Amino acid sequence: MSEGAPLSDPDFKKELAETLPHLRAFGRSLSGSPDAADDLVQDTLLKAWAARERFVAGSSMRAWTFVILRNTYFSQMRQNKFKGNYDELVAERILSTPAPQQDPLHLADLQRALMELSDDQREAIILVGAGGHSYQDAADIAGTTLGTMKSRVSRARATLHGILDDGRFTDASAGSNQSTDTALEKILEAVDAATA
Amino acid sequence: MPNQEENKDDDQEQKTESPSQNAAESGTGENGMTYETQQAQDRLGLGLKNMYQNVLDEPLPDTMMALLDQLGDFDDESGSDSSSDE
Repeated sequence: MSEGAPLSDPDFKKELAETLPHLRAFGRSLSGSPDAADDLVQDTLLKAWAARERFVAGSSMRAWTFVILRNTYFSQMRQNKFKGNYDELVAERILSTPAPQQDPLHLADLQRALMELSDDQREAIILVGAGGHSYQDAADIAGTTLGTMKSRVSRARATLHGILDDGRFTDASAGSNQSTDTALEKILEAVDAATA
Repeated sequence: MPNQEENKDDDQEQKTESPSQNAAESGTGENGMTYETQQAQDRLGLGLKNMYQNVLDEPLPDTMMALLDQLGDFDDESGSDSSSDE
């Protein structure tokens, strides 16, 4: 196959199918909502298919579709379609218990903490910290520079530690459009429920 | 192939060691990080990976598979001359 040539439709569909679980994981952690994420993934599938002649064979289908998904998400965010959608998470799912003296980390707490981040920082920490993308790949997907991506990931980590480890919110979460008081109350409720 | 694996691990370590603010708050150990800080970073790092992996491990919903199957059908109707829009 020559460079720049599009994939055949069956090959394109096959690569698209292989990225589906990653699109769901990216979409869910970004939006905080399983249902909204699956809608996002379906939108992404349709857009990717419509634009399939622009996909370069041999390049990363995951990165290409991630760009479509995040652009769709941020566009819908601006229309307020995703406000407060994270209540339906399975609150008691434990994600990690690295040390006996530490409280287990619950999925709902982590997702709520992620939603406290600015959109840019949430995307950054999900791509690098959760999805295992390199800083450069993440920068390419987010349409920013390597240095900016590193800075976003670093600030996202610091903010998440502030929320999850100390049970408090830091100034770095400013810029989120959500009331910190409300989110803090939710986390305190979750902590109460977990320790009761 | 084994080299790729090693590079991945190196990369992960660099990433988890990067933030130094917490170490400054609670006293600094020999490697610039307290035991508690390292544990907190492990907890967050592992949590993020598990959050993502949990979704990867889920079966795909039938509706999504059906949509994927139908993509070609949409094309048969309107996109048989699909090279015309570039």
